[in-house]
Amino acid sequence: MEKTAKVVIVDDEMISRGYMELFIKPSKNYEIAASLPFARDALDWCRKNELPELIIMDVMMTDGPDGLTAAAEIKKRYPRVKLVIATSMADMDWLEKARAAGIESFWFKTYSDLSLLEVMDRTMAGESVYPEKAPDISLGRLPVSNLTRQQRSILRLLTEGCSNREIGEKLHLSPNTVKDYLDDLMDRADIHSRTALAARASRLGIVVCEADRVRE
Amino acid sequence: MSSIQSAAGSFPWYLVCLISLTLMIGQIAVLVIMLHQGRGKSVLIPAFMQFLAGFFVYTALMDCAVLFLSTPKPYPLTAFEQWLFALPWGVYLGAEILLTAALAFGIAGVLRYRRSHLTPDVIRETVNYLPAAICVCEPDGTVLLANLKMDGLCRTLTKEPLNNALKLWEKLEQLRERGSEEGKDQLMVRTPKGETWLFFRDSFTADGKEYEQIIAEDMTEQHRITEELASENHRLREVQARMREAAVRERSLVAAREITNARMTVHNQMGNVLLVGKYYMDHPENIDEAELLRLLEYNNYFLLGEVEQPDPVADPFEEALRTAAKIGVTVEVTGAVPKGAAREILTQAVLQCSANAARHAGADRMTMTLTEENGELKAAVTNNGDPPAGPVRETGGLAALRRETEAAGGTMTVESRPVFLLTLTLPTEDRGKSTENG
Repeated sequence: MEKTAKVVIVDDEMISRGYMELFIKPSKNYEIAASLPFARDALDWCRKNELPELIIMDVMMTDGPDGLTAAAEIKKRYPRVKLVIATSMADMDWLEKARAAGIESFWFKTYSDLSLLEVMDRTMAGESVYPEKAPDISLGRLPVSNLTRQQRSILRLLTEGCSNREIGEKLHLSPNTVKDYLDDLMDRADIHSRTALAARASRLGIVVCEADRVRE
Repeated sequence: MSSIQSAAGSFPWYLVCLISLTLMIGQIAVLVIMLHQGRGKSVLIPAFMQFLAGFFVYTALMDCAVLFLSTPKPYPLTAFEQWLFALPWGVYLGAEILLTAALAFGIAGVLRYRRSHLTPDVIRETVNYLPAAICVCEPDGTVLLANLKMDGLCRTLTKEPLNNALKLWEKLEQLRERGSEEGKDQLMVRTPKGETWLFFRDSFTADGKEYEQIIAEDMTEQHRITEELASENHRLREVQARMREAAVRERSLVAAREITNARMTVHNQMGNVLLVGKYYMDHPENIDEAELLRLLEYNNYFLLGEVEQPDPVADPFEEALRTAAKIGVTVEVTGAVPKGAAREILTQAVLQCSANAARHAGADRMTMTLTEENGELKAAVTNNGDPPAGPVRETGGLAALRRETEAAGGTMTVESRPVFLLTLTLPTEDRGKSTENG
């Protein structure tokens, strides 16, 4: 890269945003154009200012639209702007959502083997950088990488407080099938109650219920 | 019309005799009632005359029967008797009709009088129907008026009939419900059946004479509601105290949680700091060394700061006083608070006793008095709330306090009457060690 690329950082956590600024500042390739606390601010900023080359966007926001939704909107309106989703959650379904929205790269803040700068370099070079596998964390004794999409969907609805019947209705499964899935998860994770399973999955960020993510 | 003597023995004649007898009995009854009602002479004399008239007619009829139906005749007739018995029977019939009308008027008069005047019967009946128990007596206790309820209460409570009202009152004073607030002339008593009665006593003057009266009202339902409310209030006070404690803890927890979250975020970034270092080693041409060093300096400063900074632990005893204040109990400490193991035990005493004072006694002030004597520290803890209803059960915190006290070679006593008093005696530390006022 011959000239510095303008970067906008979007993260509602001050400490996390501060660290990203510190990581990016030493790089000669990037210039921080703005450091914003909310995803809706990024949309406004893009509307009012010269477009940045790259936006680093956190997902979970305490107010306004979440980062995934805002990033999809920015991509739709400003296709030239490259986006990197940065999150401390470990919800693998977000990778699919980000890919589907055309977002270039995805970075797990806490679990990645790549530095942010490397992800940014590769993104700016035209590469799409997505984690190849799930973060190396476990739900009890069950590695998150072993969870199937169906299991994650059931876990997500469980953290929303749905009963087996409600989970079955949303996923077109019978309540008994849902029960079998949950029993299997609890056995493999060595967690002995639905509540503990939901709480642990939520706390680790393995699944994030849609109501918590999408606030608008 | 034939005379009465010719009609003697006939059916009409027997009918008239029966009517005459009935009338006479009725007249006697009306006269007695009027006497009982205390009617005046203007009423009694006519009533008596009616009775005499009825009696005369009846006697005449009976004489007629004796004289004209029996054979031989028992005695010769006098001229008056001859004239009397020669009268047509219609005269006697007319007399009966008049006496019947007079009796009817008499009965109406009696009833009218009864409706419009207070008679002793009316008073008695009314008093007996009252929901309250009443007794009126002379100053020496001689009962003048008492309704059935008062008599029944007296028998239930004293096992004796109501003979003297003052003796009854003395017995009631011995039976009064403990803990109830009444004045000198009122007291609450519970019967063996569980009814609660409130007795009032006062004196009054009527017609220049002094009398005493005792009235009792059934307060069973109100007492039950009051006890339920007291129990509910007690429960609510406990809930309130727990909520206050929870609110205090919640605030601390929220603050602690935020600090923890911030620390976790920083620690989670440690890996990324290392990755930046690795990136620099792989791509030194892309990195401004000065900025990188600034990042490392910041990071190291934070890490070193965490290591060096001591935890600001407040004095636990002072913290305990603050915690007590936060749940609404101000603790006043008199005397020197020692350091060491005794201070820790006193800290526990402040925490446990203030929580119990708020939760169970509704207190807002607690005192801890510390004195030293013969090499022993004595701590007396009391509060300004309600005394315990009975002996204090030492569970949870109090039991733990006792264990710690006794393990330190001390003693603990808990009294519940007349007020809550917890007393700890602890061996003092060496005289050379310092103490400070709490």
